[in-house]
Amino acid sequence: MMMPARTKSQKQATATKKVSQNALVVGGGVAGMQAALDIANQGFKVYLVEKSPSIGGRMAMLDKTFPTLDCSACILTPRLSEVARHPGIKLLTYSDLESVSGKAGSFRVRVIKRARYVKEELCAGCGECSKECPVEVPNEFDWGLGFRKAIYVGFPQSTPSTYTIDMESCIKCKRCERACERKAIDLEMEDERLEFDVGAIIIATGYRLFDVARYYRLGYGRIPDVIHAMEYERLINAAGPTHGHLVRLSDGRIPQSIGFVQCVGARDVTKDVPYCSRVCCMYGIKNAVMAKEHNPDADATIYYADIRAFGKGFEEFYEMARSRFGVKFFRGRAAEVRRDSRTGKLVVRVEDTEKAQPQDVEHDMIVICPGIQPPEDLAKIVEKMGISVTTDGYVDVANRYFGPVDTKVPGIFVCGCADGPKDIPDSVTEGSAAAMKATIILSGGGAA
Amino acid sequence: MKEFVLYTGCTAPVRLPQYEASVKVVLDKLGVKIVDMKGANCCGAQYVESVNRHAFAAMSGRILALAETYDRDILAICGACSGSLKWIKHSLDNDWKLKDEVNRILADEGLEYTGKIQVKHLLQVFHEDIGYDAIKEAIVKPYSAVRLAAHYGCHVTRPFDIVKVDDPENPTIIDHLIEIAGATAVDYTGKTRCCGGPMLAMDQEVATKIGMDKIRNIRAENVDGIVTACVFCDIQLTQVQFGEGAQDESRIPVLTLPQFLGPALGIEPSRLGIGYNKISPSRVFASVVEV
Amino acid sequence: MSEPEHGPEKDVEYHPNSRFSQEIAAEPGGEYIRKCIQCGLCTASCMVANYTDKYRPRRIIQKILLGEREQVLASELPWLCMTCRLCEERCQEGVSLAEIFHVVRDIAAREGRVPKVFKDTVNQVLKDGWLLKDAFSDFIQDDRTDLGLNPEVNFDGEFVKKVKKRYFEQGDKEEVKDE
Repeated sequence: MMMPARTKSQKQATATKKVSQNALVVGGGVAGMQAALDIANQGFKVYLVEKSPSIGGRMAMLDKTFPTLDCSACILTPRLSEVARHPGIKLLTYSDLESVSGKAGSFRVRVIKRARYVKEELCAGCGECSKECPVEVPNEFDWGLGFRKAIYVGFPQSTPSTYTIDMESCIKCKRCERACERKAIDLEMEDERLEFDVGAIIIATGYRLFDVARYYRLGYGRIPDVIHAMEYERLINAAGPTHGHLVRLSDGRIPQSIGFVQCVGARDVTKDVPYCSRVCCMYGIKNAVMAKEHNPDADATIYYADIRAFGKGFEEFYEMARSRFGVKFFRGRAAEVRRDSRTGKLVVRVEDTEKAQPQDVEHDMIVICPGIQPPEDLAKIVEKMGISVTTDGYVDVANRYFGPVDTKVPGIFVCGCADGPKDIPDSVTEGSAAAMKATIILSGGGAA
Repeated sequence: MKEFVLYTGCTAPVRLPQYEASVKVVLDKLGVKIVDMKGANCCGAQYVESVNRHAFAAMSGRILALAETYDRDILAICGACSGSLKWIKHSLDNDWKLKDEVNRILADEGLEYTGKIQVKHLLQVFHEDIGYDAIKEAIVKPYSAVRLAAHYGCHVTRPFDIVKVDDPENPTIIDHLIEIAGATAVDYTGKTRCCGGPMLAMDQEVATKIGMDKIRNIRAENVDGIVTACVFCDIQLTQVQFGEGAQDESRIPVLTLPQFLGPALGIEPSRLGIGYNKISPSRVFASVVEV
Repeated sequence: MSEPEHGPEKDVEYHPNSRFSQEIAAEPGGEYIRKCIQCGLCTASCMVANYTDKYRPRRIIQKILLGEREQVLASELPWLCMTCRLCEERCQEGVSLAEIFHVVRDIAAREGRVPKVFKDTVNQVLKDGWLLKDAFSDFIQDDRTDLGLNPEVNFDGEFVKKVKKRYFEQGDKEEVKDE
């Protein structure tokens, strides 16, 4: 949608019409953070709403990124600081979008800032409270593999560093309160409602994993050593529940043979996900390479139908995985995973299509590489803005070619995985694109 | 209560009459009325099905039309029959040319297929028409300390879109009934695999290997018996255990679902034809009643 | 009737849009054959493939796609499918293998290529109306009586005569192909 050149009188009219100079970004992952920074760096104000206690999104959970094998946290955490310190960005974490009304240039937004029972302005993130807390529950950040206390931060570089009390698990023993020197804990805290105006909104709500338990034949949920890719990331990450030691969940042993299963919850008409999830081939290869890095003597095998190495450096990465790291590529979709009760080994049933040979292959661990999906509550969130999702559940864009970050509602944009699966560089690119589109509105269509 | 017209198929009345008998006795106990279908024909499964699609439609179509004269839904106790009837019903309901053709050949008998009756497999009758609660209430002599493996059969559960009986990858109806009756339902590798029966025609050796694959996986779980819901599966899983070198003591009893439920419902084993089972299921019934 | 030696077949196009694949795709049940990406999930799930060296459902689909009509129709392999449909339930592209093999069998039957055991069984059914009339002895009738069942089984033998006349006798072959 091209805007015609504006006359001087039109510009004056807009200036008096009062376009809000604020923007709202919903979602504090890598795309949302990029959008927020790009808007704020132009002098506008950004409200960054994130439903979990910390920004960082999925990228904070990853160990290494493809194709460079950069340490994910190392390249991400400076971003987290930048966002947190930026005078133009107001971070609203542990918050939900409640309602949106109005139109481009003047949206009225209501946000619920859920009570974390710790005062943000007083908490220094020292962690003394957590040491005293007697309640341990599975840590969502570690996908249930590790534990956290009822008063917690999800990961060490959580931003803001404010602790949060999970009131459902809290037993109100008040030991945290007694331990906190800065008197930051307030067990009577209530949810806060904020209302503000923004000129543009960017949806950056990210993704969730396909529920691989829906593939009964692959044994996830029944066989302990069958895990999915995010659980794998936490196991190989030095800050994870096993301090970066890749071990089996059943007996703590180091796996000597790992199988990676591709196209699960992607390219599957029987599960209503006919589309390709774009990133799984590459992250699967990355995971296999990491397995060899952790244990060069172990063998890592990828079970695939196609290898989609579509981007810059991807084909080279695939070749490097094969020739330099010795990752085995087995052309055949894995049909079944079962556990041999005698040997304790996991057995994959697959056909080697290059030899027309169906066979059983033994492994110590199986990593299922699921496709990525729109978040569960995405449809509800965007409905508040008058936006619909496609049949696949992603945000519907205005025009696939010339408006890929525009939604059908003027003034509302989308970036990152909210409109479809994509990797980190593409998410960041879309974040910048959406920021650009948003600031066109905020600047009233012309330089001052 | 619900009434059905029973379609036994070719094989049950001759090779597994105890299944037919126990179905009638158990369903009667649970308040379901069954009438026999007179003048039926082979449903055409497997063989006619493979050589002529239209002949297959005519044969199964006639059974569907016959059921309409009884004004009752069909109860199919054999997996292959259940699969055929449901498949042809689906075809006739969606292909008017085929339906017309079938009705033409049925016309001089005065039969017509309109599609008004449903086809149900035995498992559906237990699950949908009688219900787990009613069955639980009717249990008077529960089993104890008995481990059983359920074998569903391919044509009973697949293709799911057409037969709509149970989850094709993780079926649970028989397991549920096993547990309701007080026994322990045991999971095993390859639970949804074929018994090998359909291969008997072309290659008996391969059919036996496939059947023994199932038996081996079941045996690995130390069960006292196998519970089936299809005529062919029952016969095949019994028969493969009489192959070369198979010992009598290590044979696992195979019993049909109503034969299993019967004693727990207080029915005399003799009325269930237990004596006709080739492998004596005495150790299954030891905890309930003496066989 | 084992698989013939693989040599260049006359008129085979060797690409997935072959005439034979189109012929199969035109029949009910064969529609999605061209969705196959040869991933092998079917063959890995197949019990027949597990216990034979020659039967690979993926390869049969491959041969159909590439147009090897003569080889596929002359082979006994499409008749080995047990129609257990585990492959169909799992195929992520929506290919209905058992149905495709039924189409192949139907076409092969039209050309007179049916394995003996299938022919014999079909003839038995068309003669008696059901499969086991010959096996239905007095002993079994006694057993049925002892079980409280009707000793008579009451199958109809007339209808199949019409079926035989209409679908299995030479003159009526054309009518079979009407859609």
